[in-house]
Amino acid sequence: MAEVAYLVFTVAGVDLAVPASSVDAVTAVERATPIPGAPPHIVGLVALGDRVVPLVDLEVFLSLASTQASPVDPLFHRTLIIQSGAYEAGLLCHRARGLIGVTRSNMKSPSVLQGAGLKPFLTSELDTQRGLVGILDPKVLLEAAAVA
Amino acid sequence: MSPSSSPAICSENLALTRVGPYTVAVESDRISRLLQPGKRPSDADIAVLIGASELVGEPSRLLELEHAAGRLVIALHGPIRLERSSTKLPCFFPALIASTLQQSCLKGVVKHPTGLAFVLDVDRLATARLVTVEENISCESD
Repeated sequence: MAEVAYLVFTVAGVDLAVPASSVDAVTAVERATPIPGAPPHIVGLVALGDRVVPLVDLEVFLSLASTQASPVDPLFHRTLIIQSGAYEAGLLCHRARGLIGVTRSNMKSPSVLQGAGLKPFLTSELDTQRGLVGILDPKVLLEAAAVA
Repeated sequence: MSPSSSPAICSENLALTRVGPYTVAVESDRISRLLQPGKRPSDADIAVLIGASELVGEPSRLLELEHAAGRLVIALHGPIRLERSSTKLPCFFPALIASTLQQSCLKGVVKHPTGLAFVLDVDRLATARLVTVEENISCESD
């Protein structure tokens, strides 16, 4: 069975992943330009090359309260630039973990990660050596993050 | 609509002003004159428009702008800085925040030497129906 690459990252101690095909870049953003009237989960804009990309704070958007005793050093914070359909955004995460190859048979229906803010965007869960990873649907995520 | 589709184009000449933490730009060819506050009533206040009225003091100057159907006057709260580019500037309009920009009568974002600036949509400001809610004025989406 064919493997599909997923990019794993951590937000507030929760390991999540998106299809690598939806990720345009992984970068470190130091400062964002605030946006007038933006909701709390959209923290600003950043200029990247020939584009201007809005940044989504996943910890806020997914209502993830950190369970870690020590916060992740900001030096490890990363921004995943993802595109899906009409939308592009930088997803702020606490750590980018790298790529994993996943087959459909490894995925299971979400049953452990049940947070109300996270659940609508989970397509499946995956057991890895490091622990449980929640697989996100980037299309649904970005459509929900967009300001109506 | 692709997020990476070509952005619109803004004039190479911009007038920039700070409103709290935001930099707002007006295309210079829209400016007809600068007025002292009190010379005439303003049609809109830039700080109220972008939801930053609590962050600024009294208006310090008025800007008369030309739009498709006439002129309007907006109140500003700081100095204006003119910037000229050698070419017209791409004006980005990220789909994720399209509604946010439209509600503040902003046509997009441009890069300038010191950062990003939000470009005022003068025509939208002039033609949008203005709704007064608790002393705030905003642009409704059409």
